[in-house]
Amino acid sequence: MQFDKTHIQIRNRTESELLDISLHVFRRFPLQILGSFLVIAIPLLVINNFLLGHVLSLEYNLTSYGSQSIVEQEYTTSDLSFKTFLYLQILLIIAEAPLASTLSTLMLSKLIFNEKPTIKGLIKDARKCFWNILFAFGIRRGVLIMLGLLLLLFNDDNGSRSAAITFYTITFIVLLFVRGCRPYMLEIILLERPGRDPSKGMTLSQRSKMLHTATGGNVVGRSMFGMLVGAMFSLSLYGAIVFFSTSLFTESGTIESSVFTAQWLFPISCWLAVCYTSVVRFLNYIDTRILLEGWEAELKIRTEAYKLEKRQQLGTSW
Amino acid sequence: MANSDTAIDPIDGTISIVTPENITFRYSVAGPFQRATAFLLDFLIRIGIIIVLLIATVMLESVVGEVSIGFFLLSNFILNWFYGAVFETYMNGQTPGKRIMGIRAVTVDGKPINAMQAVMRNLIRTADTYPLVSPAMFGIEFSDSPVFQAAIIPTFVMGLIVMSMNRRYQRIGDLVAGTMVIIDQRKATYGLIDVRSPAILQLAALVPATFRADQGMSQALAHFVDQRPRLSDARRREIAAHLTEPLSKELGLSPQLDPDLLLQALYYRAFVSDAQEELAQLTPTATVQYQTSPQAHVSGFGQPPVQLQSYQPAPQAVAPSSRPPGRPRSGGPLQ
Repeated sequence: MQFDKTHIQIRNRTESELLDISLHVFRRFPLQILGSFLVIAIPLLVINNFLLGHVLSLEYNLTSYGSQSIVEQEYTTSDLSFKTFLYLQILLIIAEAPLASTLSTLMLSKLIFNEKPTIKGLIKDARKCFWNILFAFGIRRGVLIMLGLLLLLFNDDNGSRSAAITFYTITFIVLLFVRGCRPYMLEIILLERPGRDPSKGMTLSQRSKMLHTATGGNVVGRSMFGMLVGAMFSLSLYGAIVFFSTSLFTESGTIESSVFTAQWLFPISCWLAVCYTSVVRFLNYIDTRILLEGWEAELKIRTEAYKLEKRQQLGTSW
Repeated sequence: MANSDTAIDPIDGTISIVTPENITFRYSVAGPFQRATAFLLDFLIRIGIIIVLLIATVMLESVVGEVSIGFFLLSNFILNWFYGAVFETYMNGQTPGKRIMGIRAVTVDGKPINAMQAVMRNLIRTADTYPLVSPAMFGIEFSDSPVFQAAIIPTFVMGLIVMSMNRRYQRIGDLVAGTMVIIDQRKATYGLIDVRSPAILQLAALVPATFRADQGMSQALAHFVDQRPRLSDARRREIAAHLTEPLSKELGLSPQLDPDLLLQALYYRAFVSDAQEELAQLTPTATVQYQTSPQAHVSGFGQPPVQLQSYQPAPQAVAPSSRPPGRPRSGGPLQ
């Protein structure tokens, strides 16, 4: 890696600095980051709606308002089903966040070090890490989610549905905790390419342990703070999207129990927040490596070595 | 995937300002998340003042009647709209929250803001909080109280988008007033690190007396010695090896020397022994104290801490004539 040819100045930063710098990174590479993120996020958005569609009991609102607006065309009279749907959307999005961030993380890793990647090339790179991604994020999360969805599907009455939601809540907390303690797993898989054979170098779990335990609680604290900012960011975005959609597309001035909001507007704001937090997480990972591997010191030392060599070539000295 | 050879302007959250005298100053610009904490602190201070005013209003009501309510409403209005403007005018671009967080509003030229700019940037703050949403939009009804029904929640999305669209992290108010918010000063100062061991002292003695580390070399050495406890032996040598060859050539030393030891020896020469010699020339007793004090081995060596921060806004950045008349001088680096 050429530390002196990066799109981000190599130096240690605070968490708030990283959050700010992430905005600049977004500004410099908006299409590349969003494009690579949406390649996976859009199919996931559709799949989630397909998986959770049965939770909403739909009714049509045309007679009430006589409106043709898509935002308030469909609604559900069941407050419980509406809130359950939103809650499950959040759970699925959090569970799928690492998967959705795969290409954008790879894209960032290339862009920061001044390469010009293509989506096709990124997919090819990601395929090389398929098994590690599957073992790290697919099996545990996938099995738990599918189990929860099945529980929900076969429990129509309120009592058993509440039990299924409780199960989901526990899954949610466990996922959040695991994610919080090992936030850079995806980055390690994609950027360090660890093998699974211990005789051929460090494995994923060894690398993960080395990186995540080296700075102690700092990693967990940063990860939790990042999640908090992500949650606030998605709420702000949702608020803004709701403001514009109610102002422009509704006659009632409210999006209460609107199916369109639940199925599209709310998850879109969540996915955008996930995209932003993936940039923050990548920069946090880089920052941790700068600290642990002395990148900043190396950059300064190499600069001085270069200056000294130039001076020697010119025949001047101290 | 091809490597681009074009020159890169790395993202660093800093901006350079070139003065008419062709002197370049670098400022660290405070972004939305660094400013949010200062904003929250100011918000809490305002809430505290409002609570005090409310108590005063209740106490005064029995004496002056409904006039006290008028007084409260007027005070509340002034507080909400002019809190930031008044403080930034009289505290040289800082509110109490900004002062606590070590940030300061300045003009885009790096000069102190004037009263008009302070008023402008604070009055237009409301635009940055848009769009506003109400709980009623989501069908949430807290109660029948009209206060709750009329409650509005700022999303700050407008401000966030505008700030992320420019290098100075200027919100709409900043763009209108021609201001920006910079990080006033950094507290990243390091004490000297104890690198003395027989091998290092021996190697330091071999370094010619002509060796004088310039600012860049001093920073590089200090940074390396500060970082090396976190690095593995192999990584320390790998980093230090970049300098070994040119340094050995320059200093007439063997290129076979341990790179890690060599850099530590140079650090010792640059920061400890040479500084000690200078100190000894000024106050001979200081050397004796340093040699006999056991605490001196831990950190500091009784020397002042070394400033490693390169982005300190320089005091000379502002011409004295550019200061608005009547503004009190504070101790910030922009003075």
